[in-house]
Amino acid sequence: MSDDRFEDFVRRAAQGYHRPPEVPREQMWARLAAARAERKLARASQPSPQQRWVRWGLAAAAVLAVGIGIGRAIGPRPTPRPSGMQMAEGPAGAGEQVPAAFEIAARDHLRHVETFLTVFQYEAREGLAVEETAGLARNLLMNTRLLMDSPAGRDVRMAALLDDVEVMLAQIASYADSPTPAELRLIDMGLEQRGLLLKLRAAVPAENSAFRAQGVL
Amino acid sequence: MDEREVMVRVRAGDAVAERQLYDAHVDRIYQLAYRLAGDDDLAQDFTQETFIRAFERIEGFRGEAAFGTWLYAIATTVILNGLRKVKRFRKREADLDDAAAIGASSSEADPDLKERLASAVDGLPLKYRTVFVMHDVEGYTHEEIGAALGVPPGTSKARLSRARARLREALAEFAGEWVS
Repeated sequence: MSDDRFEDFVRRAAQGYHRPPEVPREQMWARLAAARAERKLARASQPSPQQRWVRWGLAAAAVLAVGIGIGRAIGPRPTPRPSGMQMAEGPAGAGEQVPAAFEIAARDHLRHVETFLTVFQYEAREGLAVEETAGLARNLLMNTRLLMDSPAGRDVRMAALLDDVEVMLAQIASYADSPTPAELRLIDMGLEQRGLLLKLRAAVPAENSAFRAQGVL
Repeated sequence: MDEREVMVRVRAGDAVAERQLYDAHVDRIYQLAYRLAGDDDLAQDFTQETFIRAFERIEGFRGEAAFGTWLYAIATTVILNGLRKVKRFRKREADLDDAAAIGASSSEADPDLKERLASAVDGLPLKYRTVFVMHDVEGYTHEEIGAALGVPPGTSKARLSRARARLREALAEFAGEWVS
């Protein structure tokens, strides 16, 4: 039984295997043009990474502002201290109740920080365009500092977390809007070393994340 | 017109040049897609997706290889990925409708040579079937197949040899046809 004979035989016999009809050139060209136009349209209606970041940042700032506003309206007001006069106070965090509105605002803020850092880390590692990061980090940093000075910052654990967040955001904010790969690596290392994302996720459970539910990630 | 000139015009967004490239390659791509899919709708879908991707990525084509080679690499990726998806989908359908699947298989109780060959080719693992169809049916060289699949030509030869061995085994009862 010759191999060559079998090869010839199978090659001839296989010509009928799924024999194609006449190529529907025009039909496919029309479909191709329509599909390309459709995809172009779909792409144009999607927000660019820049627009996505900006929208995200505005939402974060708005939620925090509302939270702090409510907190200030309904929370206990600090008693003015006469200057130079020492007040007897207990240890930080002991026996102090953080008003619910501040707590909610703090959690919302941490959720936004977690989302920001998660997206940032993912895009940095995937080599995707990381744009507008410094501006957003500055906004989040400002909100973080506001919270540190608010009653939310009296809670010892919250204060420690806000401290970590402040350092990380300050680092990101100090770079240009489009960090270099080396800068991205440094930021990524900082995130890993501090275990900040883990801490944030522990403080703000994922199932409560309104942002994820809205499909931001 | 020189293909390089056409490429320059395509990159500049010239629709006439796009159509020229399409006309030059569409037959071979559709035929390969049809041979592998055995279905006109799927073959059209795969061909369309191949050209969409090619036109989208044409900026990244640096001209180190022939445009055809680059395009067939896209085509085989699209076709093979598409077929894997279809296979998974059909398997789920078959799981849901066992009775129909048994009925279909029993109708091939006494196939003639063509049917047996078609069935044997269909039964080859996709990587062997692809090489067999490209080489023995569509006439691609091992170099072209290697470039399209991203494997060395030697791998293409080895796959073809395994595909033929399996076919020979499946067609053993027809041995008289090629021995005589």
